[in-house]
Order: sequence, then structure tokens, then C-alpha cells
Amino acid sequence: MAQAIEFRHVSKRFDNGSLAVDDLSFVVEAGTTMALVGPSGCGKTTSLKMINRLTDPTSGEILVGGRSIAATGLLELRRSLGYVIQYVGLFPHMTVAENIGVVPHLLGWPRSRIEARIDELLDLVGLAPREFRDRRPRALSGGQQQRVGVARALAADPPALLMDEPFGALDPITRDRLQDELIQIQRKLRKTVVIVTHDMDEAVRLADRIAVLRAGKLVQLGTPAEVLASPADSFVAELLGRDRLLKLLRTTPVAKIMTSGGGGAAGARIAEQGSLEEALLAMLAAGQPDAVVLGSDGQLIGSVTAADIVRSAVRRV
Amino acid sequence: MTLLDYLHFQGDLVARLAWQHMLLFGLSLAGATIIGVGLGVAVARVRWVASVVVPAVNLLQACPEVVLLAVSIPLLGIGFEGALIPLFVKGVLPILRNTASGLAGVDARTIEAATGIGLTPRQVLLRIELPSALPVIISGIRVSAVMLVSVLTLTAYIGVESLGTLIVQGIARMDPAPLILGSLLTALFAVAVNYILVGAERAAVNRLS
Repeated sequence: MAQAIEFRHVSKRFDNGSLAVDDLSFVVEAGTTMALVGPSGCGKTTSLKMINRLTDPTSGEILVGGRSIAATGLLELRRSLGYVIQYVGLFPHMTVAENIGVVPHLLGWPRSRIEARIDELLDLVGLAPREFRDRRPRALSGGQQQRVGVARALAADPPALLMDEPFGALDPITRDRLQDELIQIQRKLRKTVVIVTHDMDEAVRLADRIAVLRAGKLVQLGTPAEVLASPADSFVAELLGRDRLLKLLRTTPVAKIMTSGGGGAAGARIAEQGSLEEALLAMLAAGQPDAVVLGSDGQLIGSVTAADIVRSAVRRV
Repeated sequence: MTLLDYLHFQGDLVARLAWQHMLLFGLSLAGATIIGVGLGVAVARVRWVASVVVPAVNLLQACPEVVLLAVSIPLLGIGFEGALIPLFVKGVLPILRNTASGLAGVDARTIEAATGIGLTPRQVLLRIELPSALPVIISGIRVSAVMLVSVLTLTAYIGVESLGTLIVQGIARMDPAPLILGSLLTALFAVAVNYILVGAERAAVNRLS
């Protein structure tokens, strides 16, 4: 079962006196993904590390599954939270299978259950168990290492997953694929995920809600669409980048603004779960200013025009 | 007397001395490894230990072996302990130094990942850090081992039997046979030890790649 993670007025002052996290409060609902976004030094990684107590808050309280983490045993807490970091941190002297089995081993699972779990997870992250079990991390590509990192984090079926720039060290194509796979995995497993990233595209893609941090303070909290449509201030707008309206089109399903029913020109075609961006692309490709929207079984369920799309963006901004 | 004649008449003595040499070697290397790795971990972990232990061990390392032996006689007496202790002290430094630098070389992110997923500090050390640093540590053990094999010959001067006894005898009696035999066996032993530990080091490196 996924568990909610809650920050209650959490602050962190480092020993050198600087305030890394300033009165942070938010809730990550069970089974949802929250992205902590901001420039380096904004306190996002510190916030994440307070959840598995790699560092402790100076004041305030963090709850996992309604329980204060200060009241949970340190090791019990850490073993119950999956943890993925940027450079993976795979153990170089252990095989892939041994890496994935570390936490189940610590939890005292019987050997046969651990072995079965390792195969299951390798399948889940798209690595053939027979081929990859006995390899060492150094014999893997960056993307494969990160897959093993995700598998290791999921090993003991934790209720929540903490990810710190998990795809930051990968090339764009590999990053894209792994993001897609993470979305697939998350659809299946419904974990509570907190992901730290400086990459707004990644946040928009992966998260149900985005928390934008600056200098330890929460600047904005909302769904990707909310944040894209109305950035709280110029700082957030800048983080979103000049193409934030395109990103908005990317995150809005065409079904949301289409005119229901038949009619409309026989211009381009777009599936109902497609995004507004895809609808525009289809229109551009077809050389038509409108498109029909097709339902899952292929019948025509509505239509949308380029003007509708522009209007929807303008209205929301 | 030729070498072969000497071996023929004194074979039992040579075998006994070689065995004794190996025994001294095994004990001193084991002691140096235990203390070297232990101090190396302490040096890597605790700042004040580094500032106390490193200069002390460096000083001992700089002392010629013969001086260490001479000093140890009034303290520990002539015999096994008197010979063994000053010698294995010499073996500690390379192991200590390599253990400390090997641990310092373990990727901090690996350690953080291990801590973050719930290993205790002890488990992080034993299961993650020491195995990762193993090639460097073995390399330190190899340096100590090769040095100990030859330095052990000096124990003959304080009455502890080893291959050094043959060398001392040869010098005292102006007899080249035991002199050459003692030197040759010591050298062979050193080369063999070096090869074995190079192999172990390579195996440890292969485990990491």
C-alpha cells in the first residue's frame, strides 16, 4: 500500500547558519507523484533527504503514512522507502542481482523469495534476468545502471519512492525512454513518489503535482497544468521556460476542449487521449486548420480547430 | 662445500629454517594486516586518530630495522617476541596507508546510497566500503609482505632462527654455500609471495569491473 508523505512547517538550518529549507508544508497524497523543482541550492535535495533522515530537520515534522518519521526506527524507515539517486550508487563489487537483493536481504527474506523478486524486478525494468543478473555494474550502460537502481529501490515493495535527479546523468534519448518506463511502472504500482529535479520538462511529464522551491521556500504548488497556465511569479515563469505554452498544450488532452458530436471538416485525425500539441501537429501535417477526434474504438466523437486551441491557451494564461 | 653438498648434509636444518621463516612471516603479516586495516579504518574515520597515528607510524617506518631490533631487546628480550614485534610494526604502515586511502577513494554517493537504503554504519563499512577498497588494501599487504620476507632474515642477529640464520652463518664462517642458499631461498620466497598477492589483487580488481 502506498502511503502519503506530509511536510509540516519543516525548516532546516545547516551548521554554517544558512537556511536551506524554510517553513515547508505540503502533502504528497498516497499513490501520487510529487516533483520538487528549483535551481541548485533551492533546498529540494535537502528536503528529500529529510524524508529518509539522511539529514534531520531543524524544526517541523515529516509524516509518512500518518506517522512521524522521528518516531519510526531509523533503519526501519530507510528500508521502507525506496531511494534512487543521480549517479545510481550501485555497489560496484556486487552483481546486479546482489545489488537488487540488498534490502530484502537486510529484511531477512528467505533466499528463494529474494531470487524470485530479483527476476520479477528485472523484468519490470526491462532487463532480461538471465542476461543481466550476474553482471557487474561497470559492465552496464548508464541507462541500464539506472534501471537497476530503480529495481533496487523497488526491491522490498516500499510504500514510497524517493528519487533524486534519477535521470540527470543520462543522455536525452535514454532519459526519455526511462521517463516513459517510469510512467508505465508507476501506472502499475501506484507508489507515492517524491522526485527531485531541476528539469521542468521532467517534472511536467512525471508528476501529478509540482512544488517549485526557491531559496528553501515553497513558491508554487499545483498540477503541471496549473503551474504552466499561471506561474506564481516571474521566477517560476522563467523556470518553465519560453516554451511553457507549448508544454501546456502537451499536458492538456484534446478531449478537454473538443466540440462533442459529429460534423467538422474531414481534416486531420487525433485520438481523444492525444494532447493539444499532438492535435496541432496533426493539423500541420495534414495542412488543415481543424481535426476530428476519434474515440478508443475509432468512431468519430468530436472535433477541434486550431482557433479552439489558441483560445484555450489564451484563456488559461 | 658446494650448494648441493650443503643441502645434502644440512637439508634438515635448511628445511627447519625455511619452515621457521614462513611461520614468522605468516604471524607477522597477519599481525600487521589486522593492526594495519584496523588503524586504517580508524584513520579514515576519526580525525584525531589520523593526527596521532600517522606521524607515529611514519617515525617507526623511518627507523632502520636493525635499530628497532636493538631497541626491542632490552624491552622484550631475546627471542620470538623480541624479533616479531618490531618487525611486524614495520609491516603496518603500507597496509594502514592503503586502507585509509582505499576507503577515502570509495565513491561518497555509493556510501550515501547504502546509508539511504538502510544499512547500518557497520554494514556500510563491512559490506560496501572495505570490499570496494579491497584491491588497494591487498596492494598494501603485498608491499608489506615482500618487505617482511627479507627483513625477517635480520632476526637471526638476535637469536631467532630463520633463513637469515644461514646468511649469518655463511658470513661468520666465510662459507659461501649457506650464504648463497639463505639469500636464494629468501629471494625466491619474496618473489613467490609477490606473485600470489599480485594475483589476489587482480582478482579483486576484476570483481569490480
